This record gives sequence, C-alpha cells and structure tokens, in this order.
Amino acid sequence: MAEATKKLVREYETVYLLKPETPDDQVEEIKERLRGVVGREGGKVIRFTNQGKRRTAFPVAKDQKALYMHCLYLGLPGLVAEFERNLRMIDVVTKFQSVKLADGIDIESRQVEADVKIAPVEEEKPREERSFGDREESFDPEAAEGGEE
Amino acid sequence: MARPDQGGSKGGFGGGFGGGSRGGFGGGDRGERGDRADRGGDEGGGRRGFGRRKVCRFCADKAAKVDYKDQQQMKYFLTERGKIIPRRISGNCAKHQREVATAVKRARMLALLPYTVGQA
Repeated sequence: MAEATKKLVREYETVYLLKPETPDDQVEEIKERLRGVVGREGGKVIRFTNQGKRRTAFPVAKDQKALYMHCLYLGLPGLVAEFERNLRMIDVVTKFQSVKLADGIDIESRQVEADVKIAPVEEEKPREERSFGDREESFDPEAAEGGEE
Repeated sequence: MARPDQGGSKGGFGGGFGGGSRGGFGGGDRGERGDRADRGGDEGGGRRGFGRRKVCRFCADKAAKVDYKDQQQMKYFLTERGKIIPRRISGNCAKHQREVATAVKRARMLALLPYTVGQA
C-alpha cells in the first residue's frame, strides 16, 4: 500500500450535559481535561461547542435545565471508551452520547478550529397547527392532474 | 393520483387509459403512488381526491441533513404526544424516515426531545 504513511482515523462527536449551575471556569477545566485525553490517545480535537443552557425535555439529574456541550474530534476506536470513562468520572457531567460520524479520515486533512459558543435558543412559543393536512383535503382529481404532472 | 380507485369506479376504459398515461411518465414512481392511493381510499371511505403528492423533504432539498442536535428540525417529526410521525403522514422516503427515526431516538437520549408528553 502506497498510502501506508497516512494515518487514518475516525471522526466522532460527543455531546455531554453539565449541571446548569456549573461555573464557567469549571466548564473550561473539563474542556482542557478532555482535550488532554484526546491528545494522549493520539487523536485530535477539532472543536468544542458550548451550546448554552437549555431546557431539557424531561428533568435530568432533578434539573429542568442543562448546559449542552458538543465536542468534535478525530481518533482511533479506543479513544471513545477513554473519553467516556473520563466523562463518567466528572461529577457535574449528567449525560453524554458519542456518535461516529465518519471512517477512514486522514488525520492531517482536518484542521483544528476555534471553540464556539452558541447563544442558548430562546423558549419557543406553543406549537402551531401542523401542516400535514393532506388527508382532509378533497378536490377533483381531474383538475389536479394537469397542475401536477 | 387516485387512478386505481378511479378506474374501478368508471369502468374498464378509465382504468386502462389512466394506467397507460402514467406509465409514460416513469415506472419507478408508480408503485409508490398506487400504494398511497389505496391507503387513502381506506380512510377516505369513498372519497376519491387525495390531496397533493407528498415529497420527502430531504430528497427535495439535497442540502438538508437529518441532524439529531437540531431541536427545531426534529420537533417537526414528533406529534404532540411525542411520538414519531409515520411516513404516510410526513411523506418521507424510506431511507430518510429511517434516519429521522434514529435521530429522534438520539435526541431523546440527550433530553432534547421528550420520550412522552403528559400522561401516556
């Protein structure tokens, strides 16, 4: 294989939830700790995204809100287990989920990006009427034929 | 769209004509549309018009990706009760409905979407 010099890794993303009262410096501390874990295992963190405090759909750790963090990184399969083991050890982390996004990525091809902080989404208004009204509609099929095809 | 039913009610001539003209547009589409018309017929109970043809929103817009982190997008595929909206209502194609179902389940694990709403 001529491509043997390339180091192929996988792309993963992990979303983890922190308790809403977590101070900012602790959030940073966790970020650096995880960055260290990924670096130690020969991976590369592309970016961390702070998605802000959001209302959860159901109480998580007896709290109606949670701080959502997202981490995108490259690494070998064993890295995820180590990453999650570390998350489990941090008390303020209430939930996490890792997903594999892609296979066989050259580790040099992806650049490290700056960390992002997204403003938390606003509370949305009550949901409006759904637009799947197709079943209720009734019209002449002959007339529709011309317009549709 | 409702050709199979309609043909039946009008007699052999109508059915043959409708089938022939539609075959010219492309065979791939045909089975799917026929199937939908049948379902509609069961619900409609004699009514023969079946709304506009539903298209998969992810097939229609190639740029749209199913993303379990996008709460607003995912909510669209959930009923008030928190159930996943079936394919026959949302109009998704089989492939994208599978992706949506997986994404909803992932979002639920992250507490972005509810498992259930109210008393269930």
